[in-house]
Amino acid sequence: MAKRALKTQTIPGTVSCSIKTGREPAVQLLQAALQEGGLWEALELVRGQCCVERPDMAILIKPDLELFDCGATTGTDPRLVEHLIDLLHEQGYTKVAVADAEGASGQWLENREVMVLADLCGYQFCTPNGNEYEVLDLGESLMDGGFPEGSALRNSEVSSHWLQAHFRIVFSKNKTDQAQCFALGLNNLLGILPLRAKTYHYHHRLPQNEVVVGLLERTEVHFAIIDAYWSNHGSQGTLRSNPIATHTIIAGNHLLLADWAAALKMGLDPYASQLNAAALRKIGLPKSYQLYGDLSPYPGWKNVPIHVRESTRKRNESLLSQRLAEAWLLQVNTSLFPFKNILDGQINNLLSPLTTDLDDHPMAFWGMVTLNYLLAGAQHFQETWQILYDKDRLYRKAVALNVNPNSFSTEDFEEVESYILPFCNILKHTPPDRNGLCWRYLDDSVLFEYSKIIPVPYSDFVERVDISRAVEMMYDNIGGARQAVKHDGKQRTIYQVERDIYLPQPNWMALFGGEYIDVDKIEVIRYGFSQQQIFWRTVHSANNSATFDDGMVTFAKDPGGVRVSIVARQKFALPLFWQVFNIDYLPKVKDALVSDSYIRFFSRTMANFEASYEGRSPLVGKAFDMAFGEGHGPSSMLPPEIDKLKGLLNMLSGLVEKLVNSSRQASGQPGSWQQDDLGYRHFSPSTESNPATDALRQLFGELATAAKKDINLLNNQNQP
Amino acid sequence: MRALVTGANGFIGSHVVQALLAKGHSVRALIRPTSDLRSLEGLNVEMAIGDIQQPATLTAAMEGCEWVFHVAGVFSYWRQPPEQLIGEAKEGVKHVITAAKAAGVCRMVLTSSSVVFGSTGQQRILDEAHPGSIESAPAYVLAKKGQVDAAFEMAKDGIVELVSVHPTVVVGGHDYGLTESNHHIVSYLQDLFKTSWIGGCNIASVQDVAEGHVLAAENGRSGERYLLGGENLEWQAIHQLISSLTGMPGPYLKVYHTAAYLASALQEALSLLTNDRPISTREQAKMVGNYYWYSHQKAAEELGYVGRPAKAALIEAISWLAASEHVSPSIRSQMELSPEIYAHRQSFGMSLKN
Repeated sequence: MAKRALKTQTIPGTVSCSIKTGREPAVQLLQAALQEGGLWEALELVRGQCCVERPDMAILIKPDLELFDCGATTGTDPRLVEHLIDLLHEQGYTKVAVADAEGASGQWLENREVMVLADLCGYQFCTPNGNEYEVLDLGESLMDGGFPEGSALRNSEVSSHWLQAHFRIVFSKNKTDQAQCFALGLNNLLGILPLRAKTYHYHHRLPQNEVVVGLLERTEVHFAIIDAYWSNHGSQGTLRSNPIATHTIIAGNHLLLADWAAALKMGLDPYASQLNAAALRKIGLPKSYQLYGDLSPYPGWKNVPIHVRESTRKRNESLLSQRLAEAWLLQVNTSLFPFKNILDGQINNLLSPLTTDLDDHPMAFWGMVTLNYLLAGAQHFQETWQILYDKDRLYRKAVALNVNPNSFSTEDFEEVESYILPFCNILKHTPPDRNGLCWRYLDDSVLFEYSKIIPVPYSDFVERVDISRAVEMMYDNIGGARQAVKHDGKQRTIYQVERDIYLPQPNWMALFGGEYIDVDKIEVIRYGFSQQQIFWRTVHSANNSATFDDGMVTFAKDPGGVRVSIVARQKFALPLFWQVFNIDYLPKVKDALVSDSYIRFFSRTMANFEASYEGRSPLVGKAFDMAFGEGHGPSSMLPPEIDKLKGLLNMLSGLVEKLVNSSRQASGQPGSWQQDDLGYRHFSPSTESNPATDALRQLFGELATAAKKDINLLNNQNQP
Repeated sequence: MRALVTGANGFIGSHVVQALLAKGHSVRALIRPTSDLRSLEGLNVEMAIGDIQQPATLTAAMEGCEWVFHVAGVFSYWRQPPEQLIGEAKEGVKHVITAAKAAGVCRMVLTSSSVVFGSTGQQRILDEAHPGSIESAPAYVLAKKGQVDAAFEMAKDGIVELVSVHPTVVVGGHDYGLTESNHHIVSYLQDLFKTSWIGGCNIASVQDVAEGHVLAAENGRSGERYLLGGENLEWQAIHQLISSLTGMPGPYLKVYHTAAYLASALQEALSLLTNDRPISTREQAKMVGNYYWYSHQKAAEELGYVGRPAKAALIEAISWLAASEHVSPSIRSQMELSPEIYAHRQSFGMSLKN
């Protein structure tokens, strides 16, 4: 049986954060900040809750190990971490370990395993005071993370070292980040997740913002420390050491508050990081807290300019671009961390020095921004193409619910039906249009009804097509999450909360920058003898893509089989172009567009119900590879797109090689030879065929034959 | 009778097994250890592990069998080196006939193909008497031609009675490996431009073809060849039928030789990047413009064979394909199946579990 995570909590109302700045040595500042930030009280509080003696209290420190050279300032100073261990030992807390999981850079660099990395970057495994400590790999000893069904991390595993520690300390570096403006405690916390291909799994497969919120909600961080004695600032963020002496240590018993204070010290809006903004909006700061110290910005501090930040965010929407940019622009000591493949190493040698002084050289700066936007543009083009013509290649989105299922009462669910039913009455008195669709406008939303008889037995149909999944089966659903709230006596879901993400509607809106439709709904399901119904109402749209997306699906017994009908009310946000170019002035055009779009949407939704009846999945898009990056071969670390490209390059280089060899042969290399009795060698001409030239000859020969056939066909047709 | 069926888990093979069982014969299925056996699930057949390329495994598998149906073969226009395709087809049939002689098998039915009788550039219907031309023919055609010639050469001594059957473009359900014939349907559905091309073919139902195999064993004359077909149609008409049965638009474009060849070359190049099977290959493009129209009159008169119309064969195929993994979810969602598909599924109690 899997052991559950230890659940402990510091008392609300005693939350504090200390910002200690001064000319004293770093260790003294650390000691003072820990005292003022309440470390010792927090330890005692948790110890009391866990009922353990000090020597038995398991304390885990998660430092920032994003270091690419010994003494670099992109990660926590190991000397401070070891000093913290000494301080804990002095107080009798002797069961202290340092822990981290291998980061994304392990995909392209050698020696990134946690133990090796710690060793190379200055961790001694024994403090200056002689206290030994372990460095644990959080990619090991995995257990079910216990994340709820509505969480993006549902079914994910986390190391038992982390989950079962009595007290968790996140010890981060004070640094900027190209995409997030700053990378502090919350960014460091992501490092505890076990899968090695972190960018792939915890940024692209699962949305990073939702991952970090899910993680923080599930596993409390008891204490947060930010090493800002030497900070890392400037446009390059985490990619390059750019130290600045800020002589500050920030410490407190609330991770978000420590990040909040550190961001203010950088002169930034604490919501500037998307990670922190998501956590602050979902979890928030405590109702009352104390900030001790000076919050004035660091003198001489350079933040990431908006052009770099925005272009990096857009570039990072592509896994491939992000992977390549991070590997190729990183400043790394390759004698400690050699590149795993030659291509990455060579390009890094070429590009990394060009971006050394991004803050001082306009050419490098704008070159970087342009490159980012070019990569982002390529990604946008590919995604738009896939939305329009190649949906099966899009990745499905595994996301978390944006609303708390327990925050809705029985009345909230029951009211959904009474909200929807009056619309049916309006539609009953609406004549169908030329497409057979009944629809009207209501408060700028479109109200419509579509129905179809599927000629299959009703009992079979309702057995195979789960009505509670009807909303998920709507056309162009590309991901979401669902959580049942209440079941009936037969264990069928009757109340549920669901988040659905759909491709931009109509799909061609993607050409104008149309957003994915992202909505959270509450739903109620009714099961009758000859009819099943689901009613839903939108309660939240994370990207404000929908004002209304409410409706009802009915499966009803009919003499012809099953009558499936959909009643819905929808209003989706339009891209800027269509807001400026107001199509309301062309009512006939608008009506035609609306009718055609909805007919397409709902006829295809019907096809999805039929597909579900056929026993096949109706959902478009492909799932991310859950095992990506977990193999040990170099190819397992490459994004699938690169792997395919590699195959093509192999083939092309093979062809070129053969062409070169054949030209060498043609330029005088003889074939086989025999020696006669007199010692003369008799050469026979080389008869070896050349696959490359043969293939080309075949291609053009067959093409010529095809063209000749067409010409003959034309001649025959022109003959009387 | 007891019959051994080689390639029993394949598309035609599994239907031959079903046709034999339906007529009360007992069946031994020759399969490889790695064979996908979904098509044989629930059928009362004896399994024999073997491989037509490993002669030692064949004699034991044929022990006690009166009939052998040699259905196994590679039907592909893609990624099969021509020499290998042709060599394996010839060697395979030689091994099977040698083993059949050794095991005392009375009669062998060889599954060949209608393409061995050639094609024409005009709308002409060919029969078994037409000498097929192998000039610039795809490797698959050469393989089939070589195989059937080798088989009759080896069976000249009369120790084993040999009858060959020559199915046309066979479509139908339970095609887990997606053979080229059914792939025509799937690739048309996938095609953005809903492209048709010049020329035509004969479309046959897999159930009729399987039935034809059994009839050939029962009534066929030794040393004879029988075409097993359905209906002759132009490709444009076939594509229109597919569109009307699936509720898909098209066909929009009609391509000729050069465009077909160029498009296929492009498809092959793209498939190197995507690792997907190309919608069409240059081998197939070379067949564009030809009429593969055949008469199955001989089989009808001598065997009692009946081939259903192309539409009925396509209904049978689409009923299964629409519910299968071969049609992607995004394509399935664009399909509005005709009532005839539902009627077919209902009347045959078709299992939709794939």
